[in-house]
Amino acid sequence: MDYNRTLRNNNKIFSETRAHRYQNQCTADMCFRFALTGNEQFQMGRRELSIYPDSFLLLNKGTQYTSKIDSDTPVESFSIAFDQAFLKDFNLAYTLPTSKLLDNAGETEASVFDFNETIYPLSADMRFNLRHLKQHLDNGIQDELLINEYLHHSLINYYRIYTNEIADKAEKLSFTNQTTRVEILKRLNLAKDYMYTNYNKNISLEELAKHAYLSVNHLLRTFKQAFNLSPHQFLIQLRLQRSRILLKTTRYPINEIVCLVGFECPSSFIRLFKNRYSITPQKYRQASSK
Amino acid sequence: MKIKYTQIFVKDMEEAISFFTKKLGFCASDKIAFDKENDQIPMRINNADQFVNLVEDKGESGFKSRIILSTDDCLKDYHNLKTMGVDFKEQPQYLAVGLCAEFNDNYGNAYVLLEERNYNEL
Repeated sequence: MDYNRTLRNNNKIFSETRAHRYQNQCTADMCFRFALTGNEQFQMGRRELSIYPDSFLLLNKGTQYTSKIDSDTPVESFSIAFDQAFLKDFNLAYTLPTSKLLDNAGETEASVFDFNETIYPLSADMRFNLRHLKQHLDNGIQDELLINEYLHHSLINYYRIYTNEIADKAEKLSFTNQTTRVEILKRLNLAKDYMYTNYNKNISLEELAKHAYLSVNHLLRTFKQAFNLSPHQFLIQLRLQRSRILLKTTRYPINEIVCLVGFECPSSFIRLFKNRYSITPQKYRQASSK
Repeated sequence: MKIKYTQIFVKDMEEAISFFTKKLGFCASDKIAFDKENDQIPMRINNADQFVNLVEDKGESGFKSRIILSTDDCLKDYHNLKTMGVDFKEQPQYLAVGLCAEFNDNYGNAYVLLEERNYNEL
């Protein structure tokens, strides 16, 4: 369903279902971009990023980007843009104890928020909250306080994802200097974004290292430290996860799904799938259609 | 065999009935004399098979209950109940089982709104 709502506090929600669309925009506020079905491609400078239903993209205020949907089936695109004052209030409420909140009650000047502009995995809680919010919006909900309750919780969900994906992973890197840890993680995220975007293509380690501005050895060592997986294992997990989405939401034959998610051989796909989820792809499809 | 009635001890029956019906959206059934001393008022919501029986706490027994209410949208119910004047202890919390929010009545009984979430589904 298509709508573009601006709430009284200037938070904005946008929903659109299209098979083809091209946009060239600059973000007015920090926003989350979701592709609830299918995928949407973004280009920011030289970076190309693609989001799928298992992930979302965070864009900071003032980011210049183009986005493209070009698909056989319609793609449900959904975005939430947060007003700066709402973000600031949330940040205070989330980080300060209640007693301190009262001391800061009069403080209203806007601060600039700069989050890591990368693809994040869509956590289950965020997905549940988003599903409820979208259902209410599709039904024409008028209660803005309730909408803002969901937006507040999507930020709680995001902060938790941020802690897992950025803060905790930076801590795992074995560099004494904090600035080095942050910089290395930023580059590892470039590698992760590259895999999220090109998961169904053949990706060589050299290519991945080049996109992360790291040497192959450095990438292998630091990626494993941060993600507890080698880039190859990460890619296999991602392909299996995306095969689950296709098994559940489409009727493509399994042999076709094998190729769509980048595996070459159906038998190794079935073996890897069964090892990971303790069920065969066929049985998984049957169980999810019940 | 199945669970049909659970009991909640309240100090003021009229006030408790009003809390359950006007704020929480329960319906009251006819009084039942379960024992010689106390009348109990069964309350239920959404025509469920389970009832919570309000029992007047004459003897100051101090017995407290903690009732877990199932919801399919915790944030919506939390927001609606808060709008009706229900006082929540804190914001909804994320647990391994799902999302929950807790509130009390005036007699020390606790109620948990729980939205169970299957974290394995896509």
